[in-house]
Amino acid sequence: MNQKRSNLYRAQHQAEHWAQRGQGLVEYVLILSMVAIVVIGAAFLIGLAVQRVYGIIGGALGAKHDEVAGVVITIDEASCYVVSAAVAPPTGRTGLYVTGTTNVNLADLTGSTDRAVGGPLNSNAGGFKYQPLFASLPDEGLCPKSVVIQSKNGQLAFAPVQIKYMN
Amino acid sequence: MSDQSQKPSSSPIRQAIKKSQTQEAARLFDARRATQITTATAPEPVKSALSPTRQAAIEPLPSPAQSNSSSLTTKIKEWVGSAADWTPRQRLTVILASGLIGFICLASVVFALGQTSSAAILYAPLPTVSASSVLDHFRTVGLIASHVQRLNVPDKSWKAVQGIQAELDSGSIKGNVLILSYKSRDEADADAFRASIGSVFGNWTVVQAANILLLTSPDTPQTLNAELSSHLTQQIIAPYRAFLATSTPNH
Repeated sequence: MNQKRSNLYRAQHQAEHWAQRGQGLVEYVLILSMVAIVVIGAAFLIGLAVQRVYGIIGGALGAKHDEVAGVVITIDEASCYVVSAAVAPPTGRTGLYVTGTTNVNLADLTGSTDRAVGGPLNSNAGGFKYQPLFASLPDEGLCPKSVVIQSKNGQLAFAPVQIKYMN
Repeated sequence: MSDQSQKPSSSPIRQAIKKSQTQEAARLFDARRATQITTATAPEPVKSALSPTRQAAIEPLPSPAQSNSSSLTTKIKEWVGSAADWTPRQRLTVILASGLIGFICLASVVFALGQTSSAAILYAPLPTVSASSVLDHFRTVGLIASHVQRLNVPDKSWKAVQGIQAELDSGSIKGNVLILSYKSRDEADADAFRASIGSVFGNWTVVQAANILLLTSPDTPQTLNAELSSHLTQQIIAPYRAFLATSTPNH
């Protein structure tokens, strides 16, 4: 009788052990799947923002990158003009002037700097013109360090911004 | 009697020893407290600092760096030691995780190297053309130019080397244009920016291609603006940028 009970207990214990082990594996798989889904979703949602930040950092460090494979986005000129009151009365101006060439529809492109994100681009011969005005006074402190031109599909070009004075 | 006679003479010495011991203990207590705050490690019990023997009192304190490194070393030793007790499954997990991390690092390096090589393609520099050659090109593609006037540049408004004002006619659409050519692209950039913020030409449409600025008056129809911009692209940019369609193969 005791032997029978012991065997029964052992079998029950073993079954519980296997049940617990199986549950653990399922949990692992579920957790990994959910983490993967969340990571992939986050990458799609914030991918462009992360890419833009990398571009801005790259430009601020002095690097220049143009998109040239199939989709083309090149930055030909990126200057921040600090204009004195003598040139632009009555108080002067500070603004960015970026031009470049592209084969992307301008509606699908945005311009960003380390000071402003997601500005629209204007048409120019063979490409685009990005010309945000920062202030109605000459202040080089308002000039951004870098500019990023980014398409909705993830292609981007970035370049450092050169400060130029107009007196 | 003898006790009474000794008491007054020994009491100041005892007090002095006691005082110096108390000061020493207080100093050590402060020093250990400071070490405890900076290293965030558990200090030795204060009891030992208060030990009466001078030997214990002058025992050097471990420096924060020593304390940190020794605790880290101990932790690593403990971890490595415990690795011997790992089950095969744990070992497999560690091996797989290490392999995965290595693969991700390798893939990142390969991807980064590939990016560098594709970005290394360089385009030929755009040519420097004159305002008159642009006007000639407009005529070549079928636009009729009238009221052509040469501007006396450079002047207060423009730093251009050549300037032409004209009325262009594309079928039923007409518009007034200024064509300015510069020594370099940089000078054209500066004048383009200045024109866009100025009160006189602020509402004119400014199109730039290399060293050329093309300004069209506010009353010029948008279709003519787009057409002129396209002709300028075909003349100056498209022959040097393969990704732009060239409709004018002569240039």
